[in-house]
Amino acid sequence: MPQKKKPGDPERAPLDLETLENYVRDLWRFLPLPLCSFNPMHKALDANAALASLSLYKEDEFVGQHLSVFFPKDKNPKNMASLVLEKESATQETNLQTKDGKLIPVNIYSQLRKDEKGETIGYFLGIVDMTKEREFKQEMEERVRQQTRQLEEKVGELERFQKIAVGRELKMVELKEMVEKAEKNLQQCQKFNQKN
Amino acid sequence: MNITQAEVDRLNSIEGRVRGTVFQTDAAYIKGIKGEGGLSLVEQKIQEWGCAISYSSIKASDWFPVGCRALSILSAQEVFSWDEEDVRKMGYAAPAHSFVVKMLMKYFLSIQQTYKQSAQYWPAHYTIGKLETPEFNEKEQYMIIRLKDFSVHPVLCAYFKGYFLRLTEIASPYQDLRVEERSCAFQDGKDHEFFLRWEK
Repeated sequence: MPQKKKPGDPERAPLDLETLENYVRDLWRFLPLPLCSFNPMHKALDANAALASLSLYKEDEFVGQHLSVFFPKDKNPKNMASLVLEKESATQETNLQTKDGKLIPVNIYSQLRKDEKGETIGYFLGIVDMTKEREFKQEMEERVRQQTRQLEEKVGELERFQKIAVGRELKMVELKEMVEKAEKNLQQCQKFNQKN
Repeated sequence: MNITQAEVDRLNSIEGRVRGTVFQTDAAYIKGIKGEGGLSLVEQKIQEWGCAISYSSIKASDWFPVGCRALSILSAQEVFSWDEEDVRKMGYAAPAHSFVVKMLMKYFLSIQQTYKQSAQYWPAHYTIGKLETPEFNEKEQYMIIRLKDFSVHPVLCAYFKGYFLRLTEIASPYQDLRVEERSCAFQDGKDHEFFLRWEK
């Protein structure tokens, strides 16, 4: 009867590796956030199902592709590639190009991977689809523009009304003064007539 | 392509073993393009041929007879009427499905380093054959991968052509890579030599 391998037994290592492999694979599949990993030459090593769904590439089609395949319209792809390697972690706004050529606005969160000697061995990218946020922002901006326009129209109307109202008021004051003057003249005339 | 019983018997009698991980990789690929039903048909066929392979319960670290390596591909080829190009595609997809490749790739920081170290991973997967890396020519833009003492079945030549091509694509910054088998143990009796050329 084969002996059970105890923890620490070197022969047990492949079994432990398999357990770890299954754990990583399950976790990778479960995560709803699109994720991928790259080597230092910016070649993709892995992508999860969420990213496959977002980008329309199959998970295995990702592997071996250069970073620039997914972010070709980046304003400065070299900067993006160098930035992820320069900083321990970074955030960037860019567009993800899907397999059918569509550009999706995304936020990218990068995290370097280092070995036990501290040497960079690649990086992870977390990709957040910003389509709804961008649409919401554009909708909000449009609403603000519309409301500003409406407000400006109201202010214009008020100004026109104010001009009319103020003009009317001034005319009233003028007429009142004229009436007062006429009344004074009339009183003087009456006094004069009484004396004579 | 019909495999004769004599050929099946020859494959099953070859000395040598292969790790279970290669069958997991086959299963992931077949399931991806043909679904669970397709994988069941392949499993049925390989079991008919005498290989005790159950793709769903296989362990990556277990050892299997090396003949089953070829029979796994041959059964898919027979079930789906695949030609050589389909097998090359299967080999091309393999590094993307292999967890071990992902684990190891992190240590390969350049194509030269990957090329030098790749040979030592062969014995981790196969108990027969030897992988050699005799020439890497940066200037002339090519490299040679030599596989010695490994005469299992020609179907593996097409498979390895795709496999080495994809692995080089992942580990290098090169574009437009091409592969050809310039020498084959089944044709000229020499070692298998895979010649990979690229454009910068």
